Amino acid sequence: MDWLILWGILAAYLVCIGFSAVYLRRFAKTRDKRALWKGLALLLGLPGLLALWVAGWVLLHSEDYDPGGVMCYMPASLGHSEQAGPETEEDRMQRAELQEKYSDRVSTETFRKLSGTVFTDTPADVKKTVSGGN
Amino acid sequence: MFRRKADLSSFVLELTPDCNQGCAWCYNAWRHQPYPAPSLGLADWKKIILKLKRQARPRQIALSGGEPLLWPAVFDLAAFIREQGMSVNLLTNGALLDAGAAGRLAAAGVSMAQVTLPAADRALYARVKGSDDFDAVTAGIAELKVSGVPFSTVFVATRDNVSGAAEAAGFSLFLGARGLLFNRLNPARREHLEFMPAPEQLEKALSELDAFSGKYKFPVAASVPVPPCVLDLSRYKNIRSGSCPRGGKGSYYTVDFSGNLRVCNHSPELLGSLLRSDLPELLAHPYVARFRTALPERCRDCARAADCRGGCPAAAEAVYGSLSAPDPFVGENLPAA
Repeated sequence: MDWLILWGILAAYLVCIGFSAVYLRRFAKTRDKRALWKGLALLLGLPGLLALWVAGWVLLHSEDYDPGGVMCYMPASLGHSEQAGPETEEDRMQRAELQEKYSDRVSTETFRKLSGTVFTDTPADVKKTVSGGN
Repeated sequence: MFRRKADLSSFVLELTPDCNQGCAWCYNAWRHQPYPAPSLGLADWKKIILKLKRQARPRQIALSGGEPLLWPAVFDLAAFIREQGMSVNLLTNGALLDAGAAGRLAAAGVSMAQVTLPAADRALYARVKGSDDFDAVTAGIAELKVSGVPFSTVFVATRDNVSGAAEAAGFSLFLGARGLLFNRLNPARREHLEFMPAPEQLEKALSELDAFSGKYKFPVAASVPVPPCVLDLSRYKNIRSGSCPRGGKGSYYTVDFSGNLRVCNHSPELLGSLLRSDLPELLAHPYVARFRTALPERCRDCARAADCRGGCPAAAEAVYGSLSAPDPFVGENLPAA
């Protein structure tokens, strides 16, 4: 609802610009003083509408609840996002090394399922963000 | 008009007190104090989700417990939360994950599963968890991979298993995890202190994890705060860490299976029912102000206090009986002069 009002104000602002331009143009052509006053009145109303819109936007983005925490308890990202990329020879060697080391710790069936999925992932498949709380 | 919403984006929902495991170091509040019985059904949870959406800015909801997979409507609730435009994390011990459950989690749109994996082999897992579920958990993780549900592992570091953290990270990477959350044990009662790792154990484990993370580009986060007076985590360049937001921005307020709000999932204090009261009313509870401002006496002159804020106040209260007591990791390792 709040956002609807905000966008309504913005729409009114744009409509006012349009009408103001129309009236001022009419004044320029006809020298009709009523058109001039209407155009100026609309123009003067514009800053008010803009101020209202900015105030609403700021209110909607302000923090009702004081942000006391300086950092997240659970980091939003675990990092390394900049390092994802095409698989390199080193990545392949590391994967082989891990398979060699850990494959006997899971059942044959689990290893088979992992073989069809994780061992075919590339680093680019791995979206490097993990978040949550526990 | 223009009613401002609470600037809280993460919430934890404790769907059930029931659990199929019995970790000796479990921090769940209801295991350590008299607690209201579970009373919420799916319809109640939906009402709570909609209320949170109206009165806060929820972007991420974590489904927890107990063991959330023991709650029958977990998949329906996850799907509903997704429909409301929020992401869903599942915090699980993983032992109940089978092909059916993993498939339903994928269908519900669960964004991330966090599976507790405190050891990389059967014997240590059994010793730390007191259960023989190691094979069930690894099989469940494989099902998550088959179903395409992203997951990270959660390593709860105790005195017994902390030396195996890097090994667990390697095993997690082998299993296809997208990262590892290293949670040093956060005690929920005095009896848990015996499980807490020593600073030198933690230092060694984090050094190894840091090296592993750098070598394999494997994301690691230390998510339970470690006060820098005991161990400064900023030296570990590859490990993400933070401090407790103490009920402010970045907090994950927790709703239990009776609809009661708590400051976090480690805090035992019930702020009131979200079914009967609005979120702003509950956030105005005097306990929240105390939780936010309490600072141990010994931390008052510390240059790092603004960042660290004295560690975990919930653990301090649980172990020493006061929000203004030091975090037990400090209290046990740096006795006051």
